[in-house]
Amino acid sequence: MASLDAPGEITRLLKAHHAGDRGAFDRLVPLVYDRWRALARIQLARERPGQVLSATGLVHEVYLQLANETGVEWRDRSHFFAICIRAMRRTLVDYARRRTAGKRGGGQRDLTLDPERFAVEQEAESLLAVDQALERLASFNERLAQLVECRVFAGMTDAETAETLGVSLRTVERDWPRARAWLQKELGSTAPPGSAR
Amino acid sequence: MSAQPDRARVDAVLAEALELPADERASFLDRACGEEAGLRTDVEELLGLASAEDARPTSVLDGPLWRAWARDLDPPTEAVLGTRVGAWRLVRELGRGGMGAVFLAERADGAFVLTAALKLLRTGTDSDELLARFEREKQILARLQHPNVARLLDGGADDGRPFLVMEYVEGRALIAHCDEQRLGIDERLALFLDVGRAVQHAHRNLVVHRDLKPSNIVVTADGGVKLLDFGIAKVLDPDGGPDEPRTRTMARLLTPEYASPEQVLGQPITTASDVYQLGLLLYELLTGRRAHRIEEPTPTAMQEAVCERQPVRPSAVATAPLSRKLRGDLDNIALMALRKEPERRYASVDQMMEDVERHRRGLPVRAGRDTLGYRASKFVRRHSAGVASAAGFALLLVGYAATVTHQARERARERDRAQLEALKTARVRDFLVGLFEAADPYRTKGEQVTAAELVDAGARQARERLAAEPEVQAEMLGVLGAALQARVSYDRAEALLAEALAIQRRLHEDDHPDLARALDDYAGIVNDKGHYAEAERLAREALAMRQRLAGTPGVEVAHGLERVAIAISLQGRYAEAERLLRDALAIRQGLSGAQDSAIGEIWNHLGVQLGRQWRHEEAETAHRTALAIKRRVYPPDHPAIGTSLNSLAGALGNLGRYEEAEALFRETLQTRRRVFGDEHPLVANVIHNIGEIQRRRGQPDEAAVSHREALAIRRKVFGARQGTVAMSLHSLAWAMRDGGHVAEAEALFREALPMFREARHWGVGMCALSLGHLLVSAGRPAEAEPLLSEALAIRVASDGDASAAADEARLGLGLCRAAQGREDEARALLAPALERLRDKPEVEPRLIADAQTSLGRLARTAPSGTASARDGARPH
Repeated sequence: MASLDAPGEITRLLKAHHAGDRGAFDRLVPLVYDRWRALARIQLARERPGQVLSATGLVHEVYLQLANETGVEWRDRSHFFAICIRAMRRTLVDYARRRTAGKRGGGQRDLTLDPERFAVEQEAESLLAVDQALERLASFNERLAQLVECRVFAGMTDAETAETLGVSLRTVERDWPRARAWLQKELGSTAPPGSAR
Repeated sequence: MSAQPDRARVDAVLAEALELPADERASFLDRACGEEAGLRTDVEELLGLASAEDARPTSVLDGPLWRAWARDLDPPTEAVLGTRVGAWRLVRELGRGGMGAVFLAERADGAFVLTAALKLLRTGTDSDELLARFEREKQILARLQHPNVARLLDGGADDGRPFLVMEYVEGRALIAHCDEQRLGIDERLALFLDVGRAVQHAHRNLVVHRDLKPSNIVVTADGGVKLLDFGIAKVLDPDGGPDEPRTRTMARLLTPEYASPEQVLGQPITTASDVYQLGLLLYELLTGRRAHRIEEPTPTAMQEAVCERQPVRPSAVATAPLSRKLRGDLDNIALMALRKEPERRYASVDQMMEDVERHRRGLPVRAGRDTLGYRASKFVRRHSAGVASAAGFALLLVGYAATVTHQARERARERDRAQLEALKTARVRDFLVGLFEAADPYRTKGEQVTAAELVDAGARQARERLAAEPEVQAEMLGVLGAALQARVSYDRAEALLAEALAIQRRLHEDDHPDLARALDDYAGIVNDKGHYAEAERLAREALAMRQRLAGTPGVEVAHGLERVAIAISLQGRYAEAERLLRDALAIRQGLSGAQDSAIGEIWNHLGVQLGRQWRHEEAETAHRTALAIKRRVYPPDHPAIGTSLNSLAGALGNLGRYEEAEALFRETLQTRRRVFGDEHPLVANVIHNIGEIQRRRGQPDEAAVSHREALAIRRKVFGARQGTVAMSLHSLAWAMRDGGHVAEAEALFREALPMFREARHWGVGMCALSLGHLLVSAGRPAEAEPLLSEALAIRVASDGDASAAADEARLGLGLCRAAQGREDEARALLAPALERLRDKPEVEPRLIADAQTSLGRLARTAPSGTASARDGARPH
């Protein structure tokens, strides 16, 4: 883990990404993802009971840590967030796959009657559908897909989304109904993501 | 649909359309899409989706999936090893489970050397609640000291993180151990018995395991069994707060195959759940397979498998040689423990273990047939050498347990209440069955235990062992009190029922069904002891409470009305009692369900009230109605049939049909002696009635013998001073008087009268009239006068001015006036009363005869031609 997570590697990829290397972004995500998980576990160990691990808090923490290590400048913050959000998406989609594995055979031991677990599995299913719909959306309009990502996987406001994507607030507001319409059409359902719970 | 339009193009058109005001979009689409119908369809669909109100997707962050992910991220082991948690240092990780990680830990304060298993619980949103719960349970769990139970050593919170420290057990999981060692059936059963004994011990300490499963049972190197996590499930159960003693969401901690139906259904968890899980364990030990296979990972499938599908007999899933060994007893034992309804399983782990032991010793097992009634009947059969009343006693207790269950269901409108009721019923049932078994000659090695000893032992145990559960304690004392009441140990019954009532009053400041029942039960015993006014007050309090509690009057209100009616009837207010009984009858007739026996009982009481109002034809009809119902509902020997036969015979006697009446009484007497033995108040009642008939038939000496016999029984049962004892004295007095023993008769009347007064019994007027009449006949009218005036006043008040009872008293007072020489007054009293009492055989015959004689004498001295004189001269 330590070698993969080497600040040097992240710094290099960040610079490449900055320079317009699209592949760099994809290689950055798993690194951030690992860092993210490690941070989350440590944070959880420190955490007082009763608190819920905050996703937004984690994003900021990962950013601060990596910014410190790599010396990324302020203007790159939005890129960084985009990476973090992608890492978050990866995290949750992986987890959702694991949680729904039981329904596709195997994993029976994990089964319980717990309504909360039931909700988790429901949300996992719809999240996997959203992930696939986003893939298709990205194939013809990446910005709309990112817009959805910011909302669904990072819980961002319009303003935060605008900053992260480097567009105006007005654009986000205007694009949002369109992105949502596409997402629903791709999902083949009127249920918006997240509404399963 | 033809070729899919290019989505990038759809998106471009859509983006442009969205920029336009809504009313310009149609013409824009006309232009932009032209002949491309597919493009236009897609854009219009998306436009519709885009303009939908508030379909803003929510973030998955902080949703259930996110929370589950965060929970599944355990703190890295390396970060905590070597650190202190409470007084413990974590040495190495032993494993991870649903609740957190388990570490090998050692005392860090160096106080003494001890290693233990420390369970570091995952932090959740409810850890404050968990800690509070833990504190409550810790002491109970720490009390669990048994060689087969891994002890809870410590627990608390370190920097807010809850932890539990348990005895560290090194060993193999039970099933794996059995398989590796290739253990045979008998060796497996021996291990199972060890497990069962540990659970038994816990149940005696009021701890239910709740999560018995193979992975919680370990076999140590020396072959001993250890149960882990005893009672921990309750500590960890978020719904196990003090107000809701049992859980709904236990499920989250369960492996579904090891859940009991009540756990799946969110019903109360009791010792019966442990019995069930022991059944699962036995099944798996015997067959190597789980009793339930859950096909689909959904709650519905699970509910279907656990709550509905019957497990296959162990012998049917085992291989051929094994199958033969399992067939029969072991099949039955496992399946009895695995019954869906908790109340149909073994009533306790003790019973289940006993069956396993019996099987191992080649003795017959109890599993197979399944009702509590079956077991009770076996119990009774084993005691058949004993007194017949023991059978009556056993049946009563069983019947009562069933009633409690029924009432618990009937009252269970709110979930919490239902849970508490079910729990209470189960505890009462366990307790009762335990009592039965303590008296089982099978266990006492043939030594007979009397029912009274059984009840005493029960009361003692209830006081000692149920102090922490006042609801159950009160219920239990009430049951035992009712048992004693049926056994006519009235003083002891009263003490128990008073105690039960006191507990209920402490528990419930406001209206509550349990309090109402305790009041009602207590009113019953107070009534039986002859304190009718006090009984009425208590019964009315219970009735009023039930009326307030019930939306529409149901069984409970009807029962309350009946109780009050009996108490006031015994105080001589028959018409009022009749009204209440008719109300109760109307309620019961309007209810669905088995009301027949209760309706039969009401008809019986109604008949009694009618008879007391001298409406004997109606009374006969009422008693015959009651009898017809009872003959349909009960077996031929049932005491309730005897009651109606006795009452009907009484009505026939009052109608002057003495032979019919005596024949019925004698039939009743025979049955009652057989059922209750010779010294039961119901037997005394029949003997009393036979004595009455004998006297009416002109056999005073035989009558005296009967009344002395009834008197002896009643004195023995009720003590010296009680209404029915006074009744016997009164009737004996009449028999003596008829036999010419006037002095003895007077003494007996004088003994009876104050007893009637003390009991506020309806017999006060009757006895005053009898004594007054005797005194008049003896030529002492001055002494008689106040008694006879009182008798008339009482009867006018209780029965009405125009009643036959009042007229009978008028005869007495008229005779007195005649003896005093106040002839006009005498005539005015005697003549109309005699006229009205024509053909009323229930009126004391000597009064009629004396009145006629007196009136005849008066007629000779009076001016001729008066109506009174003519009437008075009627032939005998």
